[in-house]
Amino acid sequence: MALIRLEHVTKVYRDRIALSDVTLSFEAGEWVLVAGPSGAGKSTLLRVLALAEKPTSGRVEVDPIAVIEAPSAPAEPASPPPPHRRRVPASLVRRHIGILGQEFRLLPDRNIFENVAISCNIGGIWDRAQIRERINPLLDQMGIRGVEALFPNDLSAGQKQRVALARAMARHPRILLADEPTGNLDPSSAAQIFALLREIRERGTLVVIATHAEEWIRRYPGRVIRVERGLLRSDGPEGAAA
Amino acid sequence: MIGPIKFIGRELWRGVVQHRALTLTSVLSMSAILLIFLFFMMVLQTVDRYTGELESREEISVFLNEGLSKSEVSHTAAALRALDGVDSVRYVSKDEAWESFRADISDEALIQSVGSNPLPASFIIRPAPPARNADGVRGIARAAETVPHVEDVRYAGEWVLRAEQVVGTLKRIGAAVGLIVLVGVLFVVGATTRLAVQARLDSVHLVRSLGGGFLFTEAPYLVEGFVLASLSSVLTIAVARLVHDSLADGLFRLLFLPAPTLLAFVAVSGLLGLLGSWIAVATLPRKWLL
Repeated sequence: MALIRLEHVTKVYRDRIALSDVTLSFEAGEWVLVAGPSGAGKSTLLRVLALAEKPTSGRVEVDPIAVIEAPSAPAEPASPPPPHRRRVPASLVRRHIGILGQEFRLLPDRNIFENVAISCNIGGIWDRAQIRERINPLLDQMGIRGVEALFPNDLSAGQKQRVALARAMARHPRILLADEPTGNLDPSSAAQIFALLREIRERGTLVVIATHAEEWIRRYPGRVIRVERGLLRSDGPEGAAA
Repeated sequence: MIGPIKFIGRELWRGVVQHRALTLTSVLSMSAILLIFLFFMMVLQTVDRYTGELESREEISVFLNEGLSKSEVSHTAAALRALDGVDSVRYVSKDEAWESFRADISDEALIQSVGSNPLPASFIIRPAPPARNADGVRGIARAAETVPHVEDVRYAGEWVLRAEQVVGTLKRIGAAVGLIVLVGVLFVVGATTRLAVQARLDSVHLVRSLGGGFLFTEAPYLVEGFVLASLSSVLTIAVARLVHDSLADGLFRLLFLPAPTLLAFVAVSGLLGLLGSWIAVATLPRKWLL
């Protein structure tokens, strides 16, 4: 059963078509690389998947929790949708999606523990002991245990990205979306991040990574979706997975 | 529930500490505006009280023709008592009037120059409480003028009327000042909150992108606006009290506002702060960070 489904999604910004009639579906535990040159529509695709953008036309379904449609889409049939298809606010659905960007986007006035913990708070977890129970294994996994009391400015770029990844994973999301996650990292840190993302996928999380670097497609093969000028050029296994 | 409250408390503290200068400027600006309004309320209350006292002292003097017999005087008294709005009628004879005049004027030479008693006998009418206002007093006076043997009627009703007009004008000015204060507080709180939010805009966008809703992206700023405006109003009350006490021995004593009014002042100020913050937060651009 698809975890996310896009049906004929088109996204237009003013007079620029960022995505054109894209139909895709994603399963749990998939390793998906979205490839293409700058401006191809990779980030827009991820934003649509993250429910941060409503499509201009078409439909996005995050199963089993939400359906997001273009404002002009035809109304649902009069009969109520089954419980597993009921509409819920996008902000609630977003809590089940981990995001990781090129910029680390850490809160500079909070220490590392608080930066990760805010993700738990947003998910409704407030008990400090419970938060520690969730965060500590993540910090261990990311190799940043012991820096909880430091502030983002005290860390290297690689460490910051691992903190951002820990924050994305703190709510145990079923979906992780990463937009050029290694764009600001040196090769060694970038390799560590990809290795961590791969580990996360091994645990059943759908991982979708947008990248323009072919190197990572070769080193971490899987399903590759190629986009160019908003159009879907290809979708299938590449590299060793082909 | 404790978790979110603690979160908002921490965010509020963080905002105040990180933007100390901005917070101080905001509190002082709001206090200055609120102080104008509070003083106006005090002036209004004081004038209102003095007018009330004037009204309660209101009396009408009815002067009688010369040479009336006792029965004519008693008929006149009965006619005056029968007028609408009259509470009591007191007779002041020519001799009593003269004694009263002599007691008021201590200059014996002046009294000698007047010669014999020129003062007429009169009745002093005290209006009943419902008629102790300009219209009531004027109505009684006009009716008294039509009573037989009455030569002249004098009253201070015009003063009351003028005082009422002054109070009415002050109330209208008060409403205008209140409106200006409202806009001023909204502007100051709105601008301050906007600056505070702008300083943390990336954080707000990020938290929203992580799925943070009202509690994370709006509530802390709304609470900040409410708390700062409430604090400003408390500071304003303290300053107003100091000024009031320093004027205590002066000619014009301002009456301090009662506790319930001051509590309402703090509450309304806080709500204005909340509204200003809400306007600032609601008009922020929404941006998605990935």
